[in-house]
Amino acid sequence: MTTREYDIIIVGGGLLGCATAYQLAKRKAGNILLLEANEIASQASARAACLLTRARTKPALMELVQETYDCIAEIEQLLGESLELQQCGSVTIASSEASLKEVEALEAAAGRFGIPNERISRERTKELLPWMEVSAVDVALYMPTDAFIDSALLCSGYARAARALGVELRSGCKVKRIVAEGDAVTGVELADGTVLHAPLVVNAAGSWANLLMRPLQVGLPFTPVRSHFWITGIDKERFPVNHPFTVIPDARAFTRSDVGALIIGLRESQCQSFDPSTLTDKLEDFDFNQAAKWQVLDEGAPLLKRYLPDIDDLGIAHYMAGPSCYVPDAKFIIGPVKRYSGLYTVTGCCGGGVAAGGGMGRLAAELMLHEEPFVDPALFVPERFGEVDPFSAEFQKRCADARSNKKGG
Amino acid sequence: MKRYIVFLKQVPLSTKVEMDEQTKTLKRSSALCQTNPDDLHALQMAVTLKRSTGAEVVAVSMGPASADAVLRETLQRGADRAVLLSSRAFAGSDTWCTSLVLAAAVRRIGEYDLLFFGRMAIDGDTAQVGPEVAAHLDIPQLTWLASVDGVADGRLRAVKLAGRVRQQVEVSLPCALMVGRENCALEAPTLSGWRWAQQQEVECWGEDELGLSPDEVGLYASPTRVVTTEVPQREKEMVWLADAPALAAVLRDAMQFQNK
Ligand SMILES: Cc1cc2nc3c(=O)[nH]c(=O)nc-3n(C[C@H](O)[C@H](O)[C@H](O)COP(=O)(O)OP(=O)(O)OC[C@H]3O[C@@H](n4cnc5c(N)ncnc54)[C@H](O)[C@@H]3O)c2cc1C
Repeated sequence: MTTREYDIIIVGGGLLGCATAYQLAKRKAGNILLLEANEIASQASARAACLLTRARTKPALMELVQETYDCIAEIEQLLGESLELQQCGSVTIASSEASLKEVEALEAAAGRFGIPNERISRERTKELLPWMEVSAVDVALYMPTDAFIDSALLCSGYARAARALGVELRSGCKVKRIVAEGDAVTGVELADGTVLHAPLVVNAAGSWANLLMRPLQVGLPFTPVRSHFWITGIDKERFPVNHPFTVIPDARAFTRSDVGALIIGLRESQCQSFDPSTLTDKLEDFDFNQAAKWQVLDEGAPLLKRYLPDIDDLGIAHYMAGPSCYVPDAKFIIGPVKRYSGLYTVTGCCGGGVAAGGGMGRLAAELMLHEEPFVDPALFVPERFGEVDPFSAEFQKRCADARSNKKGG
Repeated sequence: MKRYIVFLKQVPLSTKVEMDEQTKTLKRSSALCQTNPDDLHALQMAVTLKRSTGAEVVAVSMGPASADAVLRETLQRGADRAVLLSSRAFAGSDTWCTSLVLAAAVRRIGEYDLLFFGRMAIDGDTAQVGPEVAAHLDIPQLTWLASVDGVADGRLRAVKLAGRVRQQVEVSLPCALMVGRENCALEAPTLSGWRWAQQQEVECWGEDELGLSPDEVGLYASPTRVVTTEVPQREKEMVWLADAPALAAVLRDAMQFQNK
């Protein structure tokens, strides 16, 4: 078998693997190979609702999201093409004491970070969101610089920028296992038996990351949890193209414009986790439970009705379900895996890999290259929960609860 | 009473189907299923027509118990009544046996004006079942449909394609229509439709209800024998064109060939 030496091998060509590849290449980290079992940008990263929500109550998260916005501008410059960021703004709606507190916290965080924001009247809310029944709105917080972006386009943007900077990308190339000698990783073995050597290996295999860790007896503290959204039929008057996206905590919902239709995201009270060992190689073959399409909408509709009164009779043209990798504390997993030298991971996206991916990739790259990290890496240490068994039902439930209890967008 | 009967089939979500090497039938073990896309357009056409004629729309599917999902979807999308044709005896039926079962179901349902079929199922690609049912029932059939203009005075007016020619046709009722995706756009289903569909009863008929004997249908009664299957290999000749004049020459030749 032919072998080749690399400085770094990245497993996974989704947003997190590609963003890491880009950030490493930008730092001239050497000879880098990215391996993707399917096509680049074809799995979770092709299923997102694509919100790039800037304001977060955790300051480190805002830094990570800002880095994504910076990456987009840099990559557009580098590739000489637009990644079609849609700066539509966002409106967060409060209709209860509890959600008002959340909005106030966001407002304060945005203020500290310099993110433009203003409370708007019901009239202005109606202007921006013609579909919304505004009598239910107590407070509306408008953030005009929030945006969304086609996640697959962003992912392929990172990948193409990485390639332009010298990274070798291989799709259709599944890694069978990460190879370790003693307590150091030495490379990866491909499905066809080829072994590729590198002193640094990054596991960015998304929902599949724990399948690669299992033979190494490492458990990363996350599990795939179903995220989903519904898309209405087109009605450009009611759902104007690129009107602001909304976050409505009291309805456990978000909405986004989609070329004249409305994307509606809902979180069920008990989110559904999946045992990673049941995953198929491609998400298109995986059963996210097709019945959930209507069952979850049925569960969520009564709360949403206050804002979208005709939800029961609105035509639903499409449904999209996919896995997000949830961690019990709803924070990402980024950094070295202590048990093996040379093994790194960037995963546990908690439904935020589009917004935070650029920053997650940057932090991973800085840690690998021993540069000063731009945010506190302690928040994202893989071992922060001690030893976990991601294949146990009990742990999977803990992760699902992190999504069930999620507040923001 | 005016009545339209629509036939729908559950097919794998992925078009990658596996062949059972021994029986040479398609393996339908894939857990993920959908309603055959053309069939949904057939249903839509029936439901749209019903709005002007007041007909009852009956949806029929032959398949395993899981085809109940297909029928609930038809109720959500506007069908009034749903019938599942399900029996071990039907398993492995080819298009001939399937059409026998469907024709028997039509007879049991009773009077009808129009039968709606999707043009073709994405797992078998035969486009035979609809025409065969029409033949069993000895009624006219409309294939290569372009559009339906209306039903009046016991006749259906429609446009049909014959190569590049569009034919306006009038067909006496009852008749069968083979509907494709381009014939009508789907309306998006609603949550209230789903709620209603969950409360309806789906009737289930086997060979007894249809008056068929088990040895008339199923794998062993099916006359079709699949001897081998292979994926056609297309060989393409490729030539690199060096410059714009070379491209222009190729286009000129192609246009001359077209105009001959
Ligand atoms: C419905 C939905 C809505 C979402 N909405 C948003 C949103 O609005 N905003 C936001 O920020 N985020 C959102 N997300 C989350 C976002 O999609 C994810 O955070 C992001 O896609 C994660 O990227 P990833 O690289 O970890 O995963 P993936 O894109 O799944 O990439 C992992 C890759 O690894 C590959 N792989 C796995 N095993 C191997 C192997 N052994 N060898 C080689 N390759 C392998 C896989 O094929 C895959 O391509 C949403 C997610 C879903 C499902």
